[in-house]
Amino acid sequence: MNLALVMPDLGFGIVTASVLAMGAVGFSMLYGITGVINFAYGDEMTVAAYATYVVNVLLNVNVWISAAVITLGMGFFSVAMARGLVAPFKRRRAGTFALMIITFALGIVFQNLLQVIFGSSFQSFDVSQPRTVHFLGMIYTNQQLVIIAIGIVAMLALHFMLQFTRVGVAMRAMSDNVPLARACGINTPRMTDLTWFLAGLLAGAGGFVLALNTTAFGPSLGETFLLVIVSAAILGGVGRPYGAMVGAVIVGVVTAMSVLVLPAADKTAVALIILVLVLLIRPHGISASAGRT
Amino acid sequence: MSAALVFYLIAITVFFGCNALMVMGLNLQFGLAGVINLAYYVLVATGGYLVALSVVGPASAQGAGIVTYVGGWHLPWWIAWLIAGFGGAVIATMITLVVVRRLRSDYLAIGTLALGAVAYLLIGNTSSFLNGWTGLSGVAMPLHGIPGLTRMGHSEVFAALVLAFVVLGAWVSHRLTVSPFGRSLRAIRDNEGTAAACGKNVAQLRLKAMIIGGVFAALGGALFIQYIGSISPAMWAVPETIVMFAALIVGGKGNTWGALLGAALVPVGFLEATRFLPAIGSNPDILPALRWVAIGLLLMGFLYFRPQGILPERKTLLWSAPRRVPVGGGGSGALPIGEPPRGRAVAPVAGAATAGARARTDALLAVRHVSKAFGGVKAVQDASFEVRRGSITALIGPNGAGKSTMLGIIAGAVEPDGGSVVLDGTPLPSLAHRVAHRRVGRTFQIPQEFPTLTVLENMMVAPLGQVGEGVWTSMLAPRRWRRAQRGELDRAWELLELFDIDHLAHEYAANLSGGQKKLLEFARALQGEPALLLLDEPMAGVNPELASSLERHIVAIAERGITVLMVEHEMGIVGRICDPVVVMDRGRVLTEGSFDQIREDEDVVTAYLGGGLHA
Repeated sequence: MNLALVMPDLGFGIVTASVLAMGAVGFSMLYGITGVINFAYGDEMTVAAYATYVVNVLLNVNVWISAAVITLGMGFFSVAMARGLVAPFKRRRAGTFALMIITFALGIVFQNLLQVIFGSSFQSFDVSQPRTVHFLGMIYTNQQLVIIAIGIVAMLALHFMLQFTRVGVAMRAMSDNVPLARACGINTPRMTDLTWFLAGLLAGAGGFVLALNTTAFGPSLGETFLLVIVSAAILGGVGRPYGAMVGAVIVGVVTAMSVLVLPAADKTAVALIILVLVLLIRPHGISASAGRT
Repeated sequence: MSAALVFYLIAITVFFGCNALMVMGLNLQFGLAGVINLAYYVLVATGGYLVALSVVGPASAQGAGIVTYVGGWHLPWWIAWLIAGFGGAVIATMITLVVVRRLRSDYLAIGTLALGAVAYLLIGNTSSFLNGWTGLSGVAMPLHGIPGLTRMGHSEVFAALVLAFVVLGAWVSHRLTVSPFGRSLRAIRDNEGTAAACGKNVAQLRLKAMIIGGVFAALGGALFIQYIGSISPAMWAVPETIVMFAALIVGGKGNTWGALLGAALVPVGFLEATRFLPAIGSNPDILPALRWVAIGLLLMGFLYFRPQGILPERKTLLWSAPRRVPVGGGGSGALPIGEPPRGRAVAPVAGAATAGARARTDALLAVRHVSKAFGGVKAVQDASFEVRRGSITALIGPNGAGKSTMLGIIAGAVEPDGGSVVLDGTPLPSLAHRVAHRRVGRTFQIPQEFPTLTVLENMMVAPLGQVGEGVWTSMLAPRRWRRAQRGELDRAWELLELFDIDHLAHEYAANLSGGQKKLLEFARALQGEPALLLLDEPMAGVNPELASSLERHIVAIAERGITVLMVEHEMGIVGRICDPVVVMDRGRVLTEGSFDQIREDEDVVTAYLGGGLHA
């Protein structure tokens, strides 16, 4: 294979992986720690992208400041969603299926509200003209480099939190066994809120970089991307943030490289086929240790 | 009536009819069989594409390079229906074999969602297969071109045809729901493992439900495409499946009327109600988007305020009152068991009532060199023992000895890594439902019931090889299965009386207390007329009064020729009624003998007193 042809796609794959990592880790943490399969996650990312667009373009604020503000805002929005919508259903002992359908419905509501407000035309951020950077045969715009940097910083921050803070240990404990964690004195409602908050931050930042990477986005930005996120999260093993990171890199690179042999339009389908195969062959993901069921 | 109004009414009728078929199909798959199939609309699309391909003719005839698709014929419309229905069955089978068999709940939902999205993206992106995102058009309505029928005339006839389909579909759906077939599906939906232990072939029954649902979906899709004349991927994107689920949740799942009501309210109601809203602004996308918002909110509202739907699944009260017939010969308190089996496809009772010299000496069950490891934990290691015909054999040992695993292996619920289990000279398969058909009944450590079935229905899940458990008999011969189950019903009542829970017969099993569930489980196991009964800690969590009553029941069961193998920690009862006693420790069979022998055995004493530390 000609390296000169492969490297640009590999480069693009790394960008995709960075975007994907944020979504996959957020989705995976929510699923593992709170037990909620959040099918609205992709549309939350779209909401974040539109909110950033409003602040950036309509209110004329610098794009990076807009993104930072909205990312923080999405954290609180996510907690509000958990308290206002998910918690009441859990109090009524709604099952996994009901919660799944509810988040799906919520995603549909988000997407179509955006459609009503902004119409189906495409939007883009007000960013400076991109400059290209060559690196080991990979071609990046400076914005793509920022996307990679944001992805790496987010993952490193998460790593330090999970490994070296009490909150992180508590979260990992909850991911294994919620009743036991509660019995050990962990304030599980607070941890649940915090998990939703972190997932919201990741949806906020992830939505922004996804939109930035797509350059022009519409209300369905996060809809199909959700399935790519789920693919990476399941590949990494549900509830395993590090697995989700690995899954994101694999799915990101494989889908980007698939354009060498398949039509570019089939990228998402490639991610979904990975998902189906993982579910059938190794439903607990690549990082699950042997004997753990 | 003005022509426009008639046309509008026809459109609504057809739209309702097609959606009614689809929602009824989803009800069979999800409402009855409990399969979360988020790729449901793929089945609808299958019918639509097949009916289109059947009638539009080859692509080459439409001008080279303008449209591309595979196949394309000029077949009569009714053959197109057959092809569509068959295609729905084939795709439903594929979805079932690929994902439904292997995945459960969350993962099943994610897997089917991904499958649906893959189909949507690939068919849309591949323009040479089904003409990509543009899709197929020019599908003529059936009856087109019949002399004497104007355009208006034949759409009226078509609407009548669609309604005929709905009536036929509702009839099929209703018959299936109320039959033993439907009962088995609901049992599987409620508790898969226990349904298998009651002899239900879970994979096969679920596949049947998926296939019938697939045919409903494909026919609904086919009729719809014949009416509107074209199909493209945009019509069957992933969220459309959610509309079907919304219809079922609003109308009420698990019953045909709920499905019909849901079809009328959600897809039809929402499209039609919003049609009369004034146009907002100039954006044509606003109305459909608002409709989606409304459907999303409706779904959340219903799941919060009325998750069972407007017309919930009703309690099945097929039998109004207990038939208090005097029990022939035995009198009250006699176990109504040990009669020759009715029905078909059931192995003969392994010499159950033929007590005699043979029955006292030979082994009914032989466990030979069985091993099972879970990851690194060796739960059972090279265990061998026999259960004598007619005996009450106890399986005892400290916690973690592998007793429950052993019971699971015998029952076919756990596949051993090695060794074999032989019943009456023939090896038992590692499939729970087939073991049940060899007349092995079981109870569980924690009582397992079918929560949304009544107590009496719980009992009626147990009989093996019931008439009306197949698709055709349940649809075409309701009298026959009703007659056939009368005897089983009488037995069920007698058993419920015997265990003193007959007053709860029409209560949902979920509402029973722990002790009552235990009794129900005993009664249900006996309803299956077992030759061998496996009891997993029957005395656990039972008050002393109930315990002594259960003890008497176990003795009575054995006296009727049913062999019992029970795991038990309560040594009082083991000493009183069990002989021999098999002792397991850390996966191995330590020893066996009479209770008195066991009590003197030093190995057994050290095993129980934690001697394992220095053994």
